[in-house]
Amino acid sequence: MYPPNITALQDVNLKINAGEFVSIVGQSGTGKTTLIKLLTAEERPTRGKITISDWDITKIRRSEIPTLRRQIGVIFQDFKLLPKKTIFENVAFALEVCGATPHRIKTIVPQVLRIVGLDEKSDRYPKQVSGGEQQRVAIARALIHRPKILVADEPTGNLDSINTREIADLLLKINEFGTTVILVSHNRELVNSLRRRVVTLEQGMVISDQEVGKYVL
Amino acid sequence: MFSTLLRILKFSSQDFWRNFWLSTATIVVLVLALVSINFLITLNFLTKTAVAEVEDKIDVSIYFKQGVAESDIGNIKSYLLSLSEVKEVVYVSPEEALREFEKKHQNDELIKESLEEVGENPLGATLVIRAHDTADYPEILKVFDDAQYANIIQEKSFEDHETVIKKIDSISEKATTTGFGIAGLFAMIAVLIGFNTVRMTIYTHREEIGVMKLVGAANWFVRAPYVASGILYGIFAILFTILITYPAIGFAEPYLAGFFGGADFNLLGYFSDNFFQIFGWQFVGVVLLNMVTSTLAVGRYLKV
Repeated sequence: MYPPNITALQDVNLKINAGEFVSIVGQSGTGKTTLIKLLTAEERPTRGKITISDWDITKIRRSEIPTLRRQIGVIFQDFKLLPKKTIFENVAFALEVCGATPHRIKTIVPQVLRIVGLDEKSDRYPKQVSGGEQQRVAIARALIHRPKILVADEPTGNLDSINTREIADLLLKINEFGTTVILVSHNRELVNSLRRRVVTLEQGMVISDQEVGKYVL
Repeated sequence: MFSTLLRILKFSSQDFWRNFWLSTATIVVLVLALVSINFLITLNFLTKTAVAEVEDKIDVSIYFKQGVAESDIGNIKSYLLSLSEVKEVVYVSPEEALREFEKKHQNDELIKESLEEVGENPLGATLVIRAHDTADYPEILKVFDDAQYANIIQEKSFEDHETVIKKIDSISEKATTTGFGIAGLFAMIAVLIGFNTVRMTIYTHREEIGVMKLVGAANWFVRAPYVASGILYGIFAILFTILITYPAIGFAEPYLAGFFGGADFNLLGYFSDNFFQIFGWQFVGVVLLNMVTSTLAVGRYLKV
């Protein structure tokens, strides 16, 4: 609940298994982003319990939040890249925050940039590449810790159809390697093309949860 | 630990150079605040020098009656010199006093004739006393209130100067108090300007701070480079302030000397002699201010 009296989510009982690809859909204001924020501890639930593996993050301490965020990769609609850092530095930053050695950074970052197809542009700044490429940088940054969970909040919201397809393919590829992907989207075409589990939210409640679902709204 | 420190310094230096114009604007504002403080220090120095110059020209003369033995006056002189308040005592013999008097009134026929009529030297010896501080004259001259001196002293010039001395003391005291007041006010304005400038600089980074937090950075890891940048702003601000202050003083000093009628003052020397007190404290102040402001300002955006 948000003050003064706004209920963003209620009666949500959701279990996502390791290795799953789940799309969470719903119209604007239905609580999709709040659900993501609960997973990354940007928000705390008023009631209920959130568990990741065996870790109860419902009442996570402030000092534990960075550790949690290093285990969940998150990508956003607006990419949230650091504008004054190069593509390499943006990805490396996620390693630097947890004290990785320069040698490890120099080894891993180019590998991940190769996976997302940006190894040739690693010394460019975010504004010097396209929107689709910026989102791929964000994905590279999210993957750098080899997270068990990748959360994508409207990752294709600012992209054209070609880039949207590329990002979707990349997410599927990441899922194939064993990473659990939680995709928040209201892109009907994208969700339907994935042919994976779809959870539909309406007015803060789960109204549908289909194993191989479609965008039903 | 060492690599983390290097990483923080690297981030700080990257932030500084890649936001060149923002860094420049921040430093310029800090330099302006520091230059205005140095301008005030200059003003304070000039006021004190001017007051000291006037004070230095003040002395008090004790005129002895004719026939007082030179040895008695010598004893009084020695005693006066033993007082800590006394800076200098000059003995003027009756002959010297007469010569000075004649020289001073060489164009006054009436006085010349009067002296000729008297025939002998009507003047006694004089002791010219100069104190370290004009406020000490009453204390020094208390010595002569003793009855034993009543028969040998003709006159004291202190009464003539008393009003002037009190006025100068009052001006000096007011100048010091006002100087402190204005310095305090300027310092407060400079602190507020510095505080807001650094706060604005951090404000422009608020989204980046949020992103760093979402990527998993701990609070101290986000905060430290900005605090280091604050120190860097302080270093550059003080360097530019020094680079501006010295040539400005060098340029202004001859004009100021002319303005004060050739008074003996050395502003450049004052700044050089007190270099570490003036710029050292300004450096400590500006760096501490930037560190505290950065820490507080970044804290606002860490709640992600």
